Amino acid sequence: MKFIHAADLHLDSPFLGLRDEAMPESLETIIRQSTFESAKQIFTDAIDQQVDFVLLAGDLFDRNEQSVAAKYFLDQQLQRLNEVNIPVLIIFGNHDYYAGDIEQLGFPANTFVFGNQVETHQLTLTSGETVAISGFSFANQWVRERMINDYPQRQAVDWHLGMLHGSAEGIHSTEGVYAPFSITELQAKNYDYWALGHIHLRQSLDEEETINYAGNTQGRHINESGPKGYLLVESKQHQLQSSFHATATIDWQRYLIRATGVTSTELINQIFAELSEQKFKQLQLIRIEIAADTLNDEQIAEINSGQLLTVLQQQNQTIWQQYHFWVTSIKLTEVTNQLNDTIDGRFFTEAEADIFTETQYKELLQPFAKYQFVAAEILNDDSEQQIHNFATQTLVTHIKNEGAAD
Amino acid sequence: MIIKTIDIYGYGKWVDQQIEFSAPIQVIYGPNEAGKSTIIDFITSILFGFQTKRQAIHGQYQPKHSHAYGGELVFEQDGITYKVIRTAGSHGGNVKFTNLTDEIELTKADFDQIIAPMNRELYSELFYFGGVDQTAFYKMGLDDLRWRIQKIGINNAESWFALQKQIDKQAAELYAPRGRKRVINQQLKQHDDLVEKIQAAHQQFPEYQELTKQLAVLKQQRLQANQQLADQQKTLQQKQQQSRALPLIKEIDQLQQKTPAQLIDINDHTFELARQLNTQLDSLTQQTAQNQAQVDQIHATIKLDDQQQFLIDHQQQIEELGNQLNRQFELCSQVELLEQQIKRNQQQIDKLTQPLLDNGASRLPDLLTDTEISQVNQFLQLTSARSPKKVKANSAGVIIGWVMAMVMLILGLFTNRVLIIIGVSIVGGIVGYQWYQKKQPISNDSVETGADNELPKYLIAIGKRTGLDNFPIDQWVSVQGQIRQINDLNNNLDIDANQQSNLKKQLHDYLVQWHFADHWLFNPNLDNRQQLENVQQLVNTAQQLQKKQQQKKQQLQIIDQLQQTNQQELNQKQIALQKILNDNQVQSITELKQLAEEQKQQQQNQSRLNMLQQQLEQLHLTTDLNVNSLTEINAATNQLEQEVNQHQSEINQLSNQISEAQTRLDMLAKDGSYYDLRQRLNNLQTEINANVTRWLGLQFAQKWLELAMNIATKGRVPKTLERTSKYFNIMTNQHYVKVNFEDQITVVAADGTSFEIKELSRGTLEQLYLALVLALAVGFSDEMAFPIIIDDGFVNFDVYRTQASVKLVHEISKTNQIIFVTADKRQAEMFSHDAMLNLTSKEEKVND
Repeated sequence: MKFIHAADLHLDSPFLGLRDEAMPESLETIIRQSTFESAKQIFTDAIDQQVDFVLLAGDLFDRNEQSVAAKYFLDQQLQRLNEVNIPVLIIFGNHDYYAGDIEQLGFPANTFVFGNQVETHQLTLTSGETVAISGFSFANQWVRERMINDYPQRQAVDWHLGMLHGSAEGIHSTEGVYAPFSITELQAKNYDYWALGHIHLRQSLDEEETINYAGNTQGRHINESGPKGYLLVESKQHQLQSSFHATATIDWQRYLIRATGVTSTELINQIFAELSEQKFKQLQLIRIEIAADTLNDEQIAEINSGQLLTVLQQQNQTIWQQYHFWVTSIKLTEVTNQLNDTIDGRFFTEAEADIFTETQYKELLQPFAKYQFVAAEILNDDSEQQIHNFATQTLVTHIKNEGAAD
Repeated sequence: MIIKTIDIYGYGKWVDQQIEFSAPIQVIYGPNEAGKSTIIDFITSILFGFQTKRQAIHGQYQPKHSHAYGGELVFEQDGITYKVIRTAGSHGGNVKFTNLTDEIELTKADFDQIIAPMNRELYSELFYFGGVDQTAFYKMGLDDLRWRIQKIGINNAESWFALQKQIDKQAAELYAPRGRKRVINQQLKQHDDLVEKIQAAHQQFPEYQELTKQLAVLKQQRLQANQQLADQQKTLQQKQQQSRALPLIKEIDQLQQKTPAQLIDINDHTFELARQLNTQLDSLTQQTAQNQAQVDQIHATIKLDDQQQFLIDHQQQIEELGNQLNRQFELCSQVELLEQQIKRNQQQIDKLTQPLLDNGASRLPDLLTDTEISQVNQFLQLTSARSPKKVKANSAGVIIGWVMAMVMLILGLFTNRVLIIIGVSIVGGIVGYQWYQKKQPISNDSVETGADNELPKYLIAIGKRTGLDNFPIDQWVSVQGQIRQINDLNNNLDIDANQQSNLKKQLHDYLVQWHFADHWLFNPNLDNRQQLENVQQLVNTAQQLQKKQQQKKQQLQIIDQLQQTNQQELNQKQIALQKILNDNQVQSITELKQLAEEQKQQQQNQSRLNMLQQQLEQLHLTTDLNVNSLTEINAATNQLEQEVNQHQSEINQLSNQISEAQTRLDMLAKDGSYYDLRQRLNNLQTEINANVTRWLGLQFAQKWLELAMNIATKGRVPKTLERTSKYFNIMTNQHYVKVNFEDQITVVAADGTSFEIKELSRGTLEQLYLALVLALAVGFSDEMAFPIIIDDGFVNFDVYRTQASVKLVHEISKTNQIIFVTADKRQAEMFSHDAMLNLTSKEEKVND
């Protein structure tokens, strides 16, 4: 038996953390097409590998986005597999949740979509092996019930597989509730393989690597770095072995720089020099992380104001196609608080603890309450630290400029 | 600081005025326009600098009648007395500063250092009470208080305040809660716009779904229509088949009727054979006729005329004689030749003889004998040796010539007669040459020999005998040759003549034999040759005739054979033909032909019939047809054709709709603009977040700075608050117990009631403010104790409160010099124990 396990295609979903300014149109096009290209490769591989079937474990697209392109593409790709009689089994997740009539979806005959209640679908392969697959689709954005309890115990078939879109308790922190389950519960069903979806970082939850998140198929922001693709699962006697195949056309990467120059120009040149030496084979979207202690105040100010990134991206326009990288953001690391060194430093230190409180953040963000994305981005340790650093920098720069008291 | 004296050079109405100040309290009493305010302003100006025209709201106090401006001020601080002189100049005026105690000249900088951080503004806020700006006071809150305190309490307070302003500015650039042009505000607006656009673009999805459904329906419709069309076309086809079939059927019927029961079945070969035979017979017959004609013709020409008959009759004779003809011709030729020869000889002879006879000789001389020749030669040798060459040449030439001639003649006799002629010619030539020679040299030689005309007798006798006496002696020998020649020629001539006559006889004998053919032949006037030629002609004619006769015979024979063969063949073929005719029961070849024609026609009909039947089969008719239903069928066909067209156009329309829908569908699917909107939205969110981060950073910096500054002055603020409460308590005779500073100031009465300061009476308000100023002043007195100026401060106080306030003033004067300025005598009297400057006395005016 040979099948493909893929999930979180997020077709036609935009990338996060990019800026409109300076991005060349051709790059925009590549980005727009990236989720499609990666997914298309998976379907092509399914045909080339002559797999017995394909499992898609949810979040194929965002239903709220109502993208025609995504629907059209998916219909086409399913049809490709339909023409060579490769079945496709789909569960919908928290982004592509669906509670309506499955017939209305207009998928071809080879495609089976699991309903909102756990159901089991049987297949008989050309080899004669019988396969049962159990799964369910999200009816809306959250599923609080422990759906795992509805999954049947292993049936009298050659292979019993489970499909589930959700987060494992204790392992993944979640803001919402997504069909929670525990590894023990999965293992208790005695299935041969669990095709999981929802977590974008590919990982196995068990040692035998039969409880797997395939991960998403194309990274869409800096926290989704590393190779992305699908899992090919093959049977070797009575065991299932999975292997990863990369299909993403764009990778995300963090790159650390220890600055050696004193001007912004030197810094930019250094960044480009180091990146081009990497000789990337595939397009990389890069966050440059610079150790703050290797920078002077002017450089830091330019980074904080966004000016450096603007200039850098303008220059990036001319070389990205040759060297396959595009710098999306610059971040300072190892920022130290230098206010203590000042004459009035003790006052600032004393004030610091009272200022940078969660309440204060929330209060200041009040004006932006309508825009949820703001709070979502800022109310986390990373962003808050950045703000703290920025405030520190503002004061420090001023102190340095003014010199000691006269 | 305690002010000791002032010396006004020129300020307002004061010119060159000295005033002494006492501590701890100095009262200045004077009516309106006495110059009290001028003095106060003078003090502040000397201490903190002259104001510019713009800054001086109350005027610069330029003296009207004096050019001097400014003055001196002597004060005491920390046990040292100082004098400061400030006069007109830039940057607040020219300053001279002296340490009077130690008599040290100091600088402006030193003065500024002592004064710092106090300035006019701060002083008026902290150390001057001139009544209260109610509105401002109402607005005053803790922050303002803090500000007043912080200004003094922090190092580089100004620069921090500047930073605060800068941060505010930067933050404001980024965002303002109700702004529209700030960066974040604009971006938020853009965000809203994009969200709207995206909302609108959502329409695409239902449109896509709708189109997909539509497309399916259209395709289904088209499918149905296609099916219907197919059915109709099938029916139409049938009808068309039928209409095609009818004429076929008709013709088939006709043909079938024409077909006889029994078909002619004759082998084509037979016809062919008969035809061939017939043709051959015709040709044979023709040939026979031709042959016969030829025979007749030949026979016609066989007829002979008389001559021909004659020749035939004497054929043999003629033949015999004819065979001799060639010989006779030869003879004739020989005769003619001989004739010529004879003539030539004769000519030659004549020629040769003639010159010899020219000498007068009557005859040809005779030959000399050899002895005679030698005798002559001997004689000649003796007489001439002069031209041996010529003679030799001549004789050599002559000898060669003679040799050649002899050779030719001998050869000629054995071979060709021609050579004889050549030999004769050579002879002739030699003779001629010699004759010529003789002629010439005779003239030359005769000169030479003329001398010797005398001849021996024996020679003369020879001459006479031979007849050479007419010749010169030197020619005698030479002439021999010629004579000999002539003699020879004569001989030849005779021979030839004989021969000729012999031959002539032969000819004659021969010709005589031909007399039998006289009729046809002889013309006696003809010579031999001509006669021979006639004979020849006759013979030829006879030969020809014979040949012809022979030929004709042969021809006749051949033809005869041919005729026989022909006849055989003819018979054969006739028999064969007849057989065929009999076999097929016809009388003639014409009838047979007719039969063949008929058969052909039948075959044609049959094949046409087959073809029609095949065609009919191919039409696959499903029903039997009545031949007469053509009109019906045509009508049905027309209608069906119309319907088919209609359906066709329907289908075309559907196809168009389908392709339109498909195109639109593809367009929707390929349209990247919706994605672009969403990507842009995300990008915008990223940028908004970046800006908000910056803005928050600034906000935090601001708050941080504020708090730090607060902490830096933490000591003072609560103390000031406390002190304010205390002083207010005193001034109000314990009517109020507490003053609270928050966003606004509130006071608490003794009974615990809280009042906003708006609710206080004017007098109480002023007391509160005074309490504050005094509290502030006292609060800073550890660092800087400036004189406190109370300018008409108690006007709105009632008696009791005034008393209480005065008491407080006295209390405070322990730490600060108080300068109490009033126009109210009563108030002035309350300070009866203190130093009083009465300005009325200065002006010689007393207003009571």
